[in-house]
Amino acid sequence: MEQMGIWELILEAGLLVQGVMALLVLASLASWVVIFQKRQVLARAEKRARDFEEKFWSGADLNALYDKVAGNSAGREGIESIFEAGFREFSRLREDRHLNPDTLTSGAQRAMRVTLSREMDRLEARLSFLATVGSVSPYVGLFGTVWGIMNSFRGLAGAHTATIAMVAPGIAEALIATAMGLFAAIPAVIAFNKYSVQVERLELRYDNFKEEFAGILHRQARRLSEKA
Amino acid sequence: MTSAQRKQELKDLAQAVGLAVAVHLGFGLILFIGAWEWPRFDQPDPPVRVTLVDMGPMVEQRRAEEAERQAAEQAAEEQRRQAEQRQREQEAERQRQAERQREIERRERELAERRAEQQRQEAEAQRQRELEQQAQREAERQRAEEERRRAEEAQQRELEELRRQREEAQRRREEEQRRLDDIAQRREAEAAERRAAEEAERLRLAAEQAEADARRATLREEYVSTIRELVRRNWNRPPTTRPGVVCRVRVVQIPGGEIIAAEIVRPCNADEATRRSIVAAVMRVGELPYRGYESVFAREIDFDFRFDG
Repeated sequence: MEQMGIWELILEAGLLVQGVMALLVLASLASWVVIFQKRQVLARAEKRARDFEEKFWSGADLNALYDKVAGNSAGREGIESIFEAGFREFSRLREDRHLNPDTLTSGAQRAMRVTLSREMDRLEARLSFLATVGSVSPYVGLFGTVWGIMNSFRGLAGAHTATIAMVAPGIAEALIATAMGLFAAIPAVIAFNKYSVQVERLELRYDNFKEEFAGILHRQARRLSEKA
Repeated sequence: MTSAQRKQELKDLAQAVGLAVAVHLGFGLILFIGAWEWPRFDQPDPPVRVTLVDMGPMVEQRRAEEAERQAAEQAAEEQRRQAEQRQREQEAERQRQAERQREIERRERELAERRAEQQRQEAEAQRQRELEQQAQREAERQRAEEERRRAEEAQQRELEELRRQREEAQRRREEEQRRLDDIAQRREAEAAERRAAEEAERLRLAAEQAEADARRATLREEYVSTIRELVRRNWNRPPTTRPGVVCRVRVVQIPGGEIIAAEIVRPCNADEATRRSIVAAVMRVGELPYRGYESVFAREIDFDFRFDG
């Protein structure tokens, strides 16, 4: 009689199969860490963008808004830092009276573009890790399984009477590796798809805001130059 | 990146790690419970092991057993002899002990006679002592009688005292109860008063809110009608426009009142030229009123444009 619990299967597997299993468990742990982290970061970015846009379009004074955003010691994120970069650049260039409105606006727009790409980089960080885990870990698990099955058939070669009972435990052990690979891959793929869409939507939102804000700045610059 | 941000990030990371570990533990538990009922895996039992034994050495073994039995019989004979010897010795010992027993009995008898003489003398003395004790008991009885009377009196006094104390306590309790009732009543009255005040406050706030809403609504109406008037003033009527035109116009503005877009939305019953002219009129307005209307400012404003001829 032999106990065939999950734990026994894992313990009795070959060294290489055990290594593959350990690797997969680590990958799964790491990908879940990334999943939870990203979820929080994205949710926060979305909430801040919503709040900020609401404040921005409610007709608040832009100078006051800028002071509030720039003075926020807890750090700026996403849409706020885009606004801050654009407005700072615009105020700085406005000091120079000879600049024409187009130059003024394009300077601000450039600053906002840089900030936007930096923000996107931050949001996309480590999403590629999820993609890697999602696509590679089934193969890793499969490798462990093939190796384990190979070994149990090799043991069969020396026996005179071959029964299925001689190879079945080895194959069962080896198949656990595939199960683990799938366990690591499925959540990673789901999360990757979900977060990719979310990041894309955020990018669209930031980009729209950037364009609209640039439009407002352009009008402002024209009015300034008419007055001068 | 500021330190606050970094701290926030670290906290997020710790939380994420905790959640990830929890997910894995949960899944492991599910797996463990799911695998609990797995049937055990049968492996063929090991084959029966049979050992062949050579019978040659058996004869010699039987001879050795015979010799052993003889030795045992001799040993038994020896033991019997020793037992008889021991019995004889024990008999002699018993006789010696009987002799000693008789001597002891004689001495005890003498001792008993002496003790009887002594007891007689003691009985005489005892009688004397009993007489004395009787007299003493009489005196004691009288004393006890006296004491009992005194104790009864004391008890009487004590009972009196107890009754007085009970009455006192009863009175105090009643007083306390009355005081508590008073407090409860007062508290209830206060609570009722407070409730009434709260209700009044709530009504007042609701009324204020309604008033503010109404003010806002009228302000918004005024705002929209101002916009409508501005647009009408800037409108150049194309010759094809028939009276009875009703068009909904959507204006998009930015803080400050500047118009950045205008379009016709449904419903609109005007022809193409009229629509174009309405949009052109809105764009010609250029800037909507802003001062004084901050509270009703909206990024997009819809209003109905009418022309009745």
